[in-house]
Amino acid sequence: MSTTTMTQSQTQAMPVIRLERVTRAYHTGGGGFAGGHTIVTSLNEVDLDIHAGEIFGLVGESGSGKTTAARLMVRLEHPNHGRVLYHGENVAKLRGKKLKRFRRRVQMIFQDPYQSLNPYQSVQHIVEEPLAIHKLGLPAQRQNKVIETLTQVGLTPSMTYLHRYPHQLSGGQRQRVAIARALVLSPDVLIADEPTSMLDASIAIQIYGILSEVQRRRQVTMLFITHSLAAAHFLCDRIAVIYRGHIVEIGPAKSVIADPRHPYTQALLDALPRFGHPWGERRFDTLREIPRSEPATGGCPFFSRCVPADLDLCRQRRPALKSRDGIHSSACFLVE
Amino acid sequence: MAKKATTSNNNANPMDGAGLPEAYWQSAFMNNWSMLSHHIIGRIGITLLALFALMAVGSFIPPLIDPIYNPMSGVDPDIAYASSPSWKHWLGTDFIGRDIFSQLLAGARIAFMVGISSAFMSIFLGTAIGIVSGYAGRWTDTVLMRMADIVMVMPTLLVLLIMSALFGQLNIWTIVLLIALFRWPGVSRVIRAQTLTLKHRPFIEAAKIAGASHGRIIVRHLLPNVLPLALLYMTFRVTSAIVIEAALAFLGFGDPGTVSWGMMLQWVWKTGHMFQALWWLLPPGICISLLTLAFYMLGRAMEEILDPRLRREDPEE
Repeated sequence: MSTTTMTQSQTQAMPVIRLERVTRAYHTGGGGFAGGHTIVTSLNEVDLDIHAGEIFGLVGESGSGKTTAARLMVRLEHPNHGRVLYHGENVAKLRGKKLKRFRRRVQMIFQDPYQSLNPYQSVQHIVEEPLAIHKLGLPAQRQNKVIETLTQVGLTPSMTYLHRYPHQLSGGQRQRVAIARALVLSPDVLIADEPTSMLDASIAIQIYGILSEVQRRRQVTMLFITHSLAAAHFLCDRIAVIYRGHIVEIGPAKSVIADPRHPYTQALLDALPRFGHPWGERRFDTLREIPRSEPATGGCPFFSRCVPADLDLCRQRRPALKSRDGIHSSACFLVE
Repeated sequence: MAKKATTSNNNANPMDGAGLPEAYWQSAFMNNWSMLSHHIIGRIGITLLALFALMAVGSFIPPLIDPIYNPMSGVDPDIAYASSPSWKHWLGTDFIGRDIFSQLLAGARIAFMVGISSAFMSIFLGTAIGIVSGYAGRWTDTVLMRMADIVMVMPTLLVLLIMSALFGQLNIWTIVLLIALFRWPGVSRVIRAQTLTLKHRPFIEAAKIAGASHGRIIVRHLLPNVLPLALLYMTFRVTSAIVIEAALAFLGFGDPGTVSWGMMLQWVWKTGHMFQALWWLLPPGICISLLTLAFYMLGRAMEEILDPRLRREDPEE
């Protein structure tokens, strides 16, 4: 599966979604006389291509800029610098009809199913609303489409769910409704922003199953955002690891897991709980317990927490993404 | 499997009805109603309100019994002075022989009319301005909120007095409208704050991603979520509208064509019966206090139900 999509993506010239040196910074605090405002850079000159039909995993810790990347791709926010391209078109410049078409083609699943459904709308209204917005089909046909989509996300028998309200559903059921809302328009691109972080592990597995089933059946391009390398490995064709707004490693899922090159990816792998392997587990030990002082200017973003860092080189210069084999790249001087 | 689906379909159908959200409102209403009826303050408020509503409805009856009980024009031919309570006039008569009790009933009707209609109008205005201001943000927000500040600091009663001094006696509906026009800023501030907290919730953003227009987001997603709060503020606005109308009428600037409680107080005072005819002075005064108290109590009870942080551990207490 992953190999076929890889070859596909290499033959296709234009990625579905491309980030070009995207920077997004937030102004926080500010006002008052105690202290001026500070600028938090949540994405820093990020380049990223997502190709048609693949599941792309974006992995990172909280605050690393994963969600910001998602929000930029669905045009909830605009980058400060750089461009977000959808089929080669700058998303920020979309207006009118083109914007409406974009809104139909790119959908998102949110992290918290307790916040992403309007408490005053029934399941039917929630799932049907995108169809009503884009005036697709007659009301009767819409209901059929709603039922069909609900069945697809595993809410069966669907009729019993139509007239329920979010507060009458469990977290897993809510997230399925949210997935149904995103799927009902048959989008090209589905962005799932940590769709299981609020759910139990057993329910999370079911959600993964639905997502990969949907992807296989509809050939959607999917961006899967998660903090867990295990989940990304389970679901994704390609993985990018992001740390404090910088992509530090990117490559095919298998290769990133089996042969992690960046110390941060190695630390993430170390952090995975492992059962049934009392001996012989590989540990990289690349994460410092006590962070070093930050480099004053430039420098590697991971420098302060990196064990093997070169104290001169890594403090002064920021490594660029480089690759030996053309498909698996990492941003670290020590890899060479 | 198919059979199961059809049976559940049949089960779902009765709930289905015309408007689907009704099921939600219904369950929420039943829930909150049971909480309200266990709330002692709320219970007193509702009981008082029911009594006054009964009075307002009953105000149509006395004129039907005998024209002399007409609150405005009915004059008892046998009595041409302020008489104390008797079997014929339960609360006595005023200085020209009009029945106080039927005036009191008519006053209840006017109080409800003024209170509810002006509160409704100010809530309508306040909610609309609050949502637009909170949702649009930037300069729209700034302009609307400065406008709200300007209106908010105007003393309503004083402005109304000046206007009625300028334009002569105001019609009761003009008074209602003016009260509404002066009382929206408080509502719009609260609704704006609520809108600001809702604006960045994922379900609003999900609607945006699905391509919803601003109008759709406001009407379908923001409005239902701020409506309970708006209704709560309506009860407080009713109170203030009733008090303002009463004060205006007492000072002699009310609508001369209607019998309101403030009007009755003004007649007592003007004809010099202030402390000579307590049966005339006390009932309208007590009614004004009790009715505003009832609305206020209902509002407080509703506030506690809507905001769980205000709830006490034991609602029976």
